[in-house]
Amino acid sequence: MSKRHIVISVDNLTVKYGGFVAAENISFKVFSNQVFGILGPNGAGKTSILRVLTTLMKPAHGKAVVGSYDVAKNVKDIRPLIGVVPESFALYTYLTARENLLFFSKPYHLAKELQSKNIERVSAILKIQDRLDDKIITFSSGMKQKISIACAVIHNPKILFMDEPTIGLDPKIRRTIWKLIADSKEKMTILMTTHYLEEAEQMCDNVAIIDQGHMVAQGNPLELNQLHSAQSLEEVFIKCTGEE
Amino acid sequence: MPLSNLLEVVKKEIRQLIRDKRTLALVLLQPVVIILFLGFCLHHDVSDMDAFVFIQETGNYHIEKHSQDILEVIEECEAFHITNQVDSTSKIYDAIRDGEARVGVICNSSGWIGFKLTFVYDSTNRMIDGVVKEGMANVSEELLDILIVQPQYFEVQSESHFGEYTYFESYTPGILCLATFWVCMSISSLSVIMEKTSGTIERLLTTPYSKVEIIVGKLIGNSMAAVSASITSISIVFWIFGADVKGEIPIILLVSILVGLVSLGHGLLISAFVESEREAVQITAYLFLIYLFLSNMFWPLENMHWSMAYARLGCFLTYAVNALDGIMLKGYSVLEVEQDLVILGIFGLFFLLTGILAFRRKITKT
Repeated sequence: MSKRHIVISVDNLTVKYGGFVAAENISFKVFSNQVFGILGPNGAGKTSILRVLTTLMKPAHGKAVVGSYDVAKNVKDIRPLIGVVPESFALYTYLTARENLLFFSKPYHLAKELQSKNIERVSAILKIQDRLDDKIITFSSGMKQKISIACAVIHNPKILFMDEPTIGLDPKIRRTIWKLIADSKEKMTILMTTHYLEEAEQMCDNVAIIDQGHMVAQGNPLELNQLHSAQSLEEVFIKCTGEE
Repeated sequence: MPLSNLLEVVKKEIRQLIRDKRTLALVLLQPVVIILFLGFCLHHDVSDMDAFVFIQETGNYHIEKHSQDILEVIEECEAFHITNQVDSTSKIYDAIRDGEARVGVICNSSGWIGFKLTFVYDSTNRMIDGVVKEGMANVSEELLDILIVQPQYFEVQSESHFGEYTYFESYTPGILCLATFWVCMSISSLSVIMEKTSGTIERLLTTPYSKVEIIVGKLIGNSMAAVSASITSISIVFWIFGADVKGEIPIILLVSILVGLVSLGHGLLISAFVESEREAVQITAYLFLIYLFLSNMFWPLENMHWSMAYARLGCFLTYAVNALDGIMLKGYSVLEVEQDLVILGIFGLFFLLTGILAFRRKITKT
């Protein structure tokens, strides 16, 4: 087994919107072929951290490195390495699923054969083969999310960022997405945000719990359970972030 | 229907309206601005139209004796304002053709003692037509009194310089401009806003697509709307309404497409300042009305308040309407409307560049 190396490094990262501090002094490392979960209540700052790592925002302070590139300086080097599943589906509703997939894979300059192979492979895993030529506007939320994930992985990114990938989906579709995450782990590093703690416990090798913009805990879910004398990650989460 | 339920809905609606600051601003400002524009721009009682006069004095008793009186009567008539006295008929026609004068009055002899007044006028605006004819009647009545001349020795006639147009035909340049403007500006602003609200812009920004590729690609794609809106509008004007105007259809189509492209740039600029589809539609409708008043496409420039006469210079549709007016109603060549087209192009570049910059700033912030 090859030695794992650091793929994402976040060091004292602070994210601000004008004067509002969304996240402050956040530090963590994500190793290759890991699934890393950022957990936290709504408004904790999870998406803001993701926006910095996916080159949509610059950090106010601190440093974030994706691949071996600084997000503040090497945006153009980072973008070809990553795939992003946004919280909203972010698809072109009047294009078909296939047209969306082709459009989002175009800037990576994949060979035509590889592009077709990838579409077949991803659509088989996500069980969307039968609807590839239907327009997105005719799809249910679950199908839209599947296409959104397919668009993010169609170019075989080295790092996949997923913002609440299973929010509002039925258990069947959630399981399909979990399977995709588990299968993809061998080929890519995955960083996801979620507030489904059962999902995090099951999928993530390491997690970071964020509350009100601050990191309150981080580590392997089992270690965290032991450390906080808890039965589950949900208990750890409540102990760290407090009751409402 | 329980009244309390209805009251709740009303309360909710008012709260929503008051707390949405942008909508509130539009609700409060829109009537003020629209009524001000209406008040300053719309006048059917046109007066003081720029007039050139040519009085051919030689060999006619009445004209030689009363040339000064003739000038005074024309000047005193509310409809006209003499801006120049010229020495040939051709200068009158040139002045109207070049837009220096709306009206030309030619006074020449008709036999030894009789004389004739010919009012040549710019017939491209139908509102002027009526005013000129009314003015003519007043002038001839006054002159008959002053000159003590038998009616059979005094002839008054009118001549429409650019030909006779129906109301619809005289408004076709404005109609074409407005239709293309509306379609292109709303398409461009809405498509950008829809990308923002659906999150596709953000997704694109995490891919190797560059900002310039995203914006320029979007505009080029949307320019199909400019072509399509122009072809549709022109087809309706010519083949359904059978407008009998001057100008080659391909030239009219090209100018209309240019108007569409400038409107696309304008839409892009608007989209950088609005947050939702509703705001985009509100602003587009707002600008549509303001441009409608300012571009003097329906109402003549005369009697427009001076502030509006200056403000119209900052409205790109003014130049679009001028160019199409020239080509379709006056029979100008493209070279003769070159100045309007160049200004239109400058507006297009301005909208495009500021739109791209504003949009880049906006998507960098998101």
